[in-house]
Amino acid sequence: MKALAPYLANISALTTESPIDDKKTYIHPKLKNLGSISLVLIREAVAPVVFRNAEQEITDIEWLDDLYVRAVPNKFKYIERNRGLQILRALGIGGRLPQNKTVLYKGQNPSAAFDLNTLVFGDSANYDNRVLPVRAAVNYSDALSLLPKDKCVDETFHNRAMEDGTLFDAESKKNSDNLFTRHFIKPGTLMVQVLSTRGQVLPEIGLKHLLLSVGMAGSYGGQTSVTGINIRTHVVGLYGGKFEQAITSPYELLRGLQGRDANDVLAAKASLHELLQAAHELVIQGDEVAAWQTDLIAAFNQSGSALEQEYRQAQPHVAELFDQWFQ
Amino acid sequence: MKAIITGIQAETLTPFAYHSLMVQGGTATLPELVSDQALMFGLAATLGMMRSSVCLPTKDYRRDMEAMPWRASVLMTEQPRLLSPVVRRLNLTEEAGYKRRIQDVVKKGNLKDFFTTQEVPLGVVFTGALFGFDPFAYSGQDELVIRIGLHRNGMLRLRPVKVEQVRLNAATAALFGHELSVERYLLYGLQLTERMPVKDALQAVQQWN
Repeated sequence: MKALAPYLANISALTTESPIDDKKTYIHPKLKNLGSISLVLIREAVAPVVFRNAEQEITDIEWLDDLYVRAVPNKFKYIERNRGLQILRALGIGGRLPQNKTVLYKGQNPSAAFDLNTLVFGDSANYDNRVLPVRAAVNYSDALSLLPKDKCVDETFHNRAMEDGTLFDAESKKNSDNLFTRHFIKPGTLMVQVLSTRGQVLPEIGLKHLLLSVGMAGSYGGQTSVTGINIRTHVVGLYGGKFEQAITSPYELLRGLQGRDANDVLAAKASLHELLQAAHELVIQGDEVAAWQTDLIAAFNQSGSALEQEYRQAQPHVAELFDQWFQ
Repeated sequence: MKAIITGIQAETLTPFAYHSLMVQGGTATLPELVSDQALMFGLAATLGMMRSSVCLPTKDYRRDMEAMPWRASVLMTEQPRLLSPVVRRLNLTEEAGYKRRIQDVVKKGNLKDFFTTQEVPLGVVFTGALFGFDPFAYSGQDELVIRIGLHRNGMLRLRPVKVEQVRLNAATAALFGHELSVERYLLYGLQLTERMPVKDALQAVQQWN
């Protein structure tokens, strides 16, 4: 984690600048806030997954003369932001309001609703007659399948038959017209997604919070009542640099993968890592990040751990940031 | 402001969307341009000139653009394209349901929880110019990636290129108290002048302060 320091914010200095927006402090032509880190993930389907749109088919996008499965950012971010809220609730240091229903009443402090999760994932709320905007420190990209769509989706046909094994409904004297096709992404499908920050806006505890939130397998997409846990997340690596690089677009990664081996998780991780490390100053291998995640999860499950202390110490700093800025 | 003209070629690396136009059931993005303001702010963020905080200041475009060492033209493309609509869901019921008051409104059909957005696809190339600053020489990079669009999810790759003619945004000029003749009115904040040689455009934007 120490190597990441030049690209992260300092938790005890979130509010060093005076919030009076004199233009000298707002934008100055010197490189004071350079830094971008990208957490590159492979989302592996471990049960049927449904990422769909208005049609019943899986959402896709045309790229490199082919169609690829596309999961828009919210398909993942929504679930993970929710997990972040649950983590804060478990520790009793935030997540007071339901997700997407941030409400502030007159006379409340903004920190009554805004917490570390807000800092990491972004939010906004109406306050009096103003809107308080907090931009997300971490941007989610689309998740794109590594293989063309025709290789990673399947469908099943459903009909609602009667108990006697026919389609004939004896009560209404009609054949059932409840016939439809269910499309799903096949287990074993790999999707690449990039979570990135721009500028030194994410403190180290924020990064830990993010790693905890994306670290566990979960149920994503539609119809999870049928499939349950359906995505396992693998970390390709964490890449940092002064400037954001074009290669951190999942579409560019897909282009780079053409002609390389990406058939299984290990091969895909190795190929993606090779593409990414060439363009970045700071490179941390996925296995190391995965080890951090394991440690973080273990620390979270143990009460009174150092991680819990860190969360508790960060809370007043984060509260101060929101209260001072939005007063 | 220095008399530097940097031609810019911008290519989308991911789709991006804005709520530019109302269409049946949702919104669509204007497919043929990236506004000058998106370019200026995106560049400021990429070059590390924004404050390092997730909390945003009150909105005052003039104050912010005045502080930037550059002005920009609108980025235009010859081949505008849009992706087919993507359905988005306003997901408020997931935790804790609705309050009674909202429930009544929803039951009357007055809350649209499904709406569509239409994005500009990747691989679209826009051209325009930046005045008063050469970000490539300044940062020592041959290309820069800026972020535009809703939630800043659109990645745009900037490269230097030679540009002869550009369109300016008369709405930006108006912020600085200057009047330019408008050829096409797209939105209140996007009013295009006719095409003009970059030298004339430079003279016009040098007065924006």
